[in-house]
Amino acid sequence: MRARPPLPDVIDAHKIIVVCGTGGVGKTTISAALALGAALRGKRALVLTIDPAKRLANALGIDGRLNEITPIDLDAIRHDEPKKTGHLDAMMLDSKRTWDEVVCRFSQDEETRDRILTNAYYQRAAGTLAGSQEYMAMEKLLQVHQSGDYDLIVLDTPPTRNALDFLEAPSRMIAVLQEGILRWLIPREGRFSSARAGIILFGKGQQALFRLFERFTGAEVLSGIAEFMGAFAQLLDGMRSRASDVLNLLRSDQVAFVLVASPRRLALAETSHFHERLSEGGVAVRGLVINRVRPPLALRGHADVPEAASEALPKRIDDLEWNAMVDEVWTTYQHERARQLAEAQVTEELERQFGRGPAWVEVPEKEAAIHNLETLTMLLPHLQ
Amino acid sequence: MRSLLDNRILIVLGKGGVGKSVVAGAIGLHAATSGRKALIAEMNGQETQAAIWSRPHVGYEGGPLSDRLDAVSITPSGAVEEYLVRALKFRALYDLVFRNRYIEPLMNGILGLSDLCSIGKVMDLEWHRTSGAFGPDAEGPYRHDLIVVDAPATGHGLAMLRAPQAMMDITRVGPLFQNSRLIRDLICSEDKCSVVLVTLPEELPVMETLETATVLREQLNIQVAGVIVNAMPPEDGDWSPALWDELQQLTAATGGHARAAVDTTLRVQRRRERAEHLVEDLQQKLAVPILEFPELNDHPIGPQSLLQLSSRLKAWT
Repeated sequence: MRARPPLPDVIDAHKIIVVCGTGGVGKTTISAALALGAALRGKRALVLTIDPAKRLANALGIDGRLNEITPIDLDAIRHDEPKKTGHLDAMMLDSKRTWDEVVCRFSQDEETRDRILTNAYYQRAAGTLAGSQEYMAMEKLLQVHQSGDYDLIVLDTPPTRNALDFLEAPSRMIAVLQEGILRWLIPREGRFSSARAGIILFGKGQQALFRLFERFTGAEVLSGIAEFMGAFAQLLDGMRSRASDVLNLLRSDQVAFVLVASPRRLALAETSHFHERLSEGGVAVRGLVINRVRPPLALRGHADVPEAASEALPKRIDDLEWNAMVDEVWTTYQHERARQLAEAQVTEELERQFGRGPAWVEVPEKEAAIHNLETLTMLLPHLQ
Repeated sequence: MRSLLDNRILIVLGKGGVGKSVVAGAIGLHAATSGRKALIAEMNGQETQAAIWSRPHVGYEGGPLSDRLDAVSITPSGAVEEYLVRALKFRALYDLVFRNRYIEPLMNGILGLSDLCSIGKVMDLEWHRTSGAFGPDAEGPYRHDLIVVDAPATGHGLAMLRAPQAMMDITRVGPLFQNSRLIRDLICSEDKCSVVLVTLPEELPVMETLETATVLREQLNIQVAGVIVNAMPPEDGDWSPALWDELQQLTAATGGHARAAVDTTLRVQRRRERAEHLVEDLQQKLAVPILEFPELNDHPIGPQSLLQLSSRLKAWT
């Protein structure tokens, strides 16, 4: 049987690691740990995340939000070998701020730029338009990759329901903006004073439609949308070419996808579905991290656990308290064993599904929270 | 303090994977077993409630789960369609504009329509009377005494609760504004609506719960009824420390399953202690009831476990 590649080898052979997985499996923590491990091996590493919950900041022991690239001080955990050259930066992406940067970059003039930045619909769309987080993550990824400042970028993907959202959402978002603008709301040159002055509509049907629509949203709303769209139309070509650059980058051999999965039975179907969709999309998973595995009980794998406590633990005639204690300890043991056996089955199933191609590591559940560099370091031996 | 079941609407909110659906199911069942008619409104289209009760899918129209307990599965697209068809008066018009695969997401993104209509649908459900009358001022007994909303995961859930105010801010006048104000007033109403936060007894979810409570109270003016800490590790019996020491010494010598059982219990005890610290932390920082749900051993969850959990809610009155 072919040996699996070690995870650090997979990571060191690539420029970008995309960490993906279903929600709540610990992607952010694992991303931070992978980047930390690479930094300690001497790499210039960056971990990039979009996480409204400040989780990365937390794992790295930094208070507050990271909106900019923030260097992480590694001296505290590398006392034995302070001469190593590697370093770690962290960045928590602020999606709205990245949108603003994109608007600034692709606007053809200051007037357009300001018209967009101050538009109420832009401010709203920048936060809520489907796919905007994913687009902005890619935009940032390309920016830092092209800067050449890093040997390794670990990208923690936004939580998505669909495995390929991360790859597909950006171009879908641009298509939506583009087609929506072209087909329905063609802005006229110049000023946008009122809704109908700002929009050329094809056909009487659509004019009637907009009058109706206006009646229900209010005239202000439509003119605001028209203004936003009109100004925004100019940006789209630039955005689209960036999006296709990133897609090409992500499909290149500089990039490896690492999947973080939970060993819980409830999560198995979701992980399998996630994996299927990735394969359909032509994305090969190069590494698998099974996260928060329950620590092995003694005698793991022995199926011959006696049913009754009395066979393993001595009962005592007339000592009710002792016997109650023994029963309870035994019940706890049975329950924990049942859970662990269920997890072992899930892990076997995942091994079957992924085969021996990808690197494979199992990270045990920690009894203490990972809330600073020291505790994050405790994960590193398990990611070898 | 007002009883949990005196609300018209309870919004169950928490991060992904903490057990929101199970908690929503338990609250619904608690209401039903207390003699009220309850409706569980699922906002993620997953039909979890129907699965728990081994029932056929309830769909957007809703359906029964058990005595006095119904469920409905609110999909964002269904809610947008229902609202717009009603607002625009003509289905053909809706089909023309919103069935377009580019227009729909664009309008949704720019106006936040899907979040607004999803929570708006909850208001619709609140308006229904048994007589068939419908509206904010309709009279007669309610079709459902309590509506339990199984909200999307925290970030998206908060966006949904923010949607009515956000729409009011951008429209300022007109029918859409009026409608948004009705929804906002309902979810901010102290008499009618509260949020139940769900968390696991782990550091990060607890921290997020505290943050969410602050946002709800300070930014959204939505009250928090309490917190349910789900999947608490089991508590030990009242053994005397001397007996426990004796058992540990005894099993250290024998090894085997006896030793493993004691070691496992020790580990569960440590998990329990850590969980209890977090519950205390919540109690100190939030002046609301904190209720514990035990870790369950059966998967998938069925009506029996739900009943077991719902009985815990009796303590919360």
